[in-house]
Amino acid sequence: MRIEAKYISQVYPNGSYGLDDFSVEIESGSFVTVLGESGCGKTTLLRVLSGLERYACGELYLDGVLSTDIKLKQRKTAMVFQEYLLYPKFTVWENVKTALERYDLDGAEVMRRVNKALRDFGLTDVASQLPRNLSGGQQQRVALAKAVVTDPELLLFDEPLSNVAEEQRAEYMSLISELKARLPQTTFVYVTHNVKEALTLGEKLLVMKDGKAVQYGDTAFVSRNPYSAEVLGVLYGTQAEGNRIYNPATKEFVVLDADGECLSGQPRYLKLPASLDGRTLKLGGTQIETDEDYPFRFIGTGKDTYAYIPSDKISGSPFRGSEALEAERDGENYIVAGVKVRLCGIKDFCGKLYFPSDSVLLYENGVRALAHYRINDVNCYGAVRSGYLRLPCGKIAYRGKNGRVRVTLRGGNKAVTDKKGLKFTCLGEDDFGEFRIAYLRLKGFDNYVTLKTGKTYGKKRIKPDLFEAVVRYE
Amino acid sequence: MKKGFIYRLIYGKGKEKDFTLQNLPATRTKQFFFVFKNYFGKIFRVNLLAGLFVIPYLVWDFILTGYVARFMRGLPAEEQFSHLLRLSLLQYGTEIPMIMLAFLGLAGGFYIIRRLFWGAPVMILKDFGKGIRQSWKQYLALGFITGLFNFGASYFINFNLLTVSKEVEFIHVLAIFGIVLLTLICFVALVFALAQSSLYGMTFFGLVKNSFILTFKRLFRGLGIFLLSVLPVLAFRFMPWAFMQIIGGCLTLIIGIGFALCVQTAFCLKVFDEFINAKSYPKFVNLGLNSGVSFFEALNEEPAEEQDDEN
Repeated sequence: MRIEAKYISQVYPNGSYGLDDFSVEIESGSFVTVLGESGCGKTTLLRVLSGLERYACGELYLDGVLSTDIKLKQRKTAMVFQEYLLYPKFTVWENVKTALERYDLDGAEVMRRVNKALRDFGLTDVASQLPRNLSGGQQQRVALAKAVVTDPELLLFDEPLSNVAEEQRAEYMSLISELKARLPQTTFVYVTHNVKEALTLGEKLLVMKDGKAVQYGDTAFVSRNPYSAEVLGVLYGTQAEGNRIYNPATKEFVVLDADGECLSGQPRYLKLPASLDGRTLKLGGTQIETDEDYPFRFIGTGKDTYAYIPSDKISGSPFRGSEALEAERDGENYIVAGVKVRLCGIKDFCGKLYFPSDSVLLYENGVRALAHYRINDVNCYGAVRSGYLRLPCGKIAYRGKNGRVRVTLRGGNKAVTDKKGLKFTCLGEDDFGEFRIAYLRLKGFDNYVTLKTGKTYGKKRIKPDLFEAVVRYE
Repeated sequence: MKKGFIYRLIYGKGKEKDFTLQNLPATRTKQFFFVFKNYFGKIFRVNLLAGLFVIPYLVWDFILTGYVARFMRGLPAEEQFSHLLRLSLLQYGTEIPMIMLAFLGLAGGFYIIRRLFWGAPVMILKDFGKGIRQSWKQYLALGFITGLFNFGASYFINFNLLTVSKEVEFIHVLAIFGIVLLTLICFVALVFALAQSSLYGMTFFGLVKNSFILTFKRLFRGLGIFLLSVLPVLAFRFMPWAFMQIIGGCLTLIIGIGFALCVQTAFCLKVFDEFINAKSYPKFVNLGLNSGVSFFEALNEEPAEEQDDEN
C-alpha cells in the first residue's frame, strides 16, 4: 500500500497538535520506522493511517485513493499495539480468529488461515491457552498473528516491544524482519522511541518532532546526513555545543546555521529565487507552466518570491512529472542558479537535477503563495461530499474568550463561535462551473484557506455556517 | 508499569518465560483443576447449553414427584401399592423422552469438554452442535435405555418398600441394596458409554460391551468418580424439602452439569489412554498433558469443518 500524506494536521480539544502539517510519501512494500520522543505524534500518525482517528485537515491518500473515501471495513490495515490487546477470556486460537470475524469467510477458510498463522508464529503448542498463561513475547506473537492473519496491505506497529522482556526483544525483532521478508508487498510502519530498534529494523527512517516530519529517508542516509540539530537530538540525544553538534554515526562534528540546520549536511530544501510571469513560474532557468490542470495555483503578488524544493525529492535522473534544473557538481555540492547546496545520494548525475513539479513550495515575503494540492475532479468531488474546508497549509486561528481554543464551524449547522464571522480577504478564485474554489487569507496570519462554494466572496464577512474548518490561534 | 489488582486478576501477573508443553499438567487429576480454573467461563456456557436440554426433565420430575407424594400421602400401604404401577408409568414412563432429550445436551457437552482437555480449539455453539450431530443416535438410544432402567429400578424399589414385611424384611432390604448397586454400576457403565460414543466410532453393541468391560476393570474407582461428580448437586436433590430441591436444580443448571462432565471426562480419558489409545491411537495418549503432543501435532493436518477428527 502506497501512502501519501499531505499537510495533515490533527488538533485535540485542548488545542494541542497531534500532527502539524505532516507530509510524507511511503512507497508500497517499504519498511518505515518512525522515531521520535514521547508526544511527538507517532501514535497519532498510526491512528490516522489506520482510520481510527480522523484528521482535521490535509489529505491522506492510500494507493492513490483519498482516505475519507475508503470505509474503515474496506481498509486492509492491521495494527499491533503496545498493550497486545488480546481478549483475556479467549484462547490464543480464538483471539487470532476474532480478527477474521469482519470478513465474510466460511468456517473451513477461517480454520485454515488461523491454523497457518499459529504455525507461522510457533504458537501451535499454546493454541488453547489463555493469554494470562503466556509470556510477554508469546503474547506479542499472538498479537502479530492476529494482525497478519487478515493479509493486510499496511501493517502498523505501535511500540510493540515496550512490554516485552529484554532477552526476548532480539528474537522478536528478528521475527519481524522475517515477517517482512515473507510479506514483500505489505507496507510496514513501525513506531518506536528506541533508537536501536529504529536503526536496526526499517529500511527507511522517519524522524518526527512536535507533530512534524523533520526528516525522512533511507535509514543509513538519515543517520549520516541529518538535516538539523533536532534530528541528531532525536537520534542520539546529542546536544549542540555552540554552533556545532556531534554525529556519532559519522564520528564527526556537524556545523549548524543560526536556525539549527546542519550546514555540513544536506539541507531540507533547495531554495531558489523565483518569479511568476503570467501563468509561467520561473526558477533557476526552468519554466513551469501553471494552468487549471496543474497541481498548484499562485495566490501571491509575485514580488520577492522564492521557490523551495524538498532536497530528498531531487534526483539525478528524470522521472514522470519531473522538471529539470541545470547544475554543476562539486563533490557532494551542486551549484544551481548560482546557489551552492549540498545534496547527498544523487545517482546518475548528467548535468541536470530533476524534481517533481508538484513538490515546489513558493513563498512570498516568507508567506506561502501557492495552493499546493491537486485541483481536479477527484479532490473537489471529495470536498463536495465531505463538506470539509480544505486546509493544505492552513494555520488560521481564532481567539475565543478563553484564549487558545479550537473552533469547529459546521457547514449548514450551528456555529460554535461566539463571533458572527471571520473576516477573510479573497486572494483569488477558480471557477469550475458548478462550484468555485476561493482562496482566502485571514487578516494578520501567514497562510491561506480554500473554500469551496457556489458564491463569490471578496472582502466580505463570511458567515460561519458556510464552511467547516479547524482553526487554532498561532 | 505496575499493574493494578483487577488488571492482574484478569490478565495475570505477566510471565517471564514462555509457556511450553512442559508447563501443562502432568496427570488427568491435575488437568481437571487446570481446565476447571482456566476455562471456567466456557464450562459455564456449556453447562447453560446442556442445561437447556435438561430443564424439561427437571421441571417435569419436580412436578410429578410432588403430585405423586401428595396423592399417596395418608393412604395405607395396600392402597398405595394398588396405585404404584399406574403412578410409576405416569411419572417415570413420561420422563423417558425427556431423559432422551437431556442426553442430547450431554452429547454436546461431552464433545466440548473433551476438546478442552485435549487443548483443541473450541467454538462453543458450533462444537456443541457438532457434538450432537455426531452422536445423537447413540445418545438417544442410551437415553431411552436409561429412562427404561429408571422406570424399572424405581418401580422395583417402591414395590419392595410397599410390600416389605417383618418376616422377609432382610430379603427386601437386600433387594433394594442390590438394585441400588446395580444402578450405580450401570451409571458408571453409562458414563463410559457416553464418553466413548463422543470419541470413538463404534457400533452400539460394541459400545455397551466395551463400557461394561471398562467398568469392571475400574469398578471401585469408577463408582467413586461417579459419586464425586454427581453428589454435590444430587445431595440437594434428595433432600425432602422442596426448597432444597429447587436449589439443587438451580445448581445443576449453573455449574452442576459442567462439573460432572469435567470429572467424568478426566477419569474416562485416563482409562481410555490406558486401555484403548495405548494400543490403537498412540498419538492421543496423554493428549493435553505435558507428556503428550500438542493437539495440532496429533491431528497432523489442518482440520476442515466437517471432518471427524476423533478417528
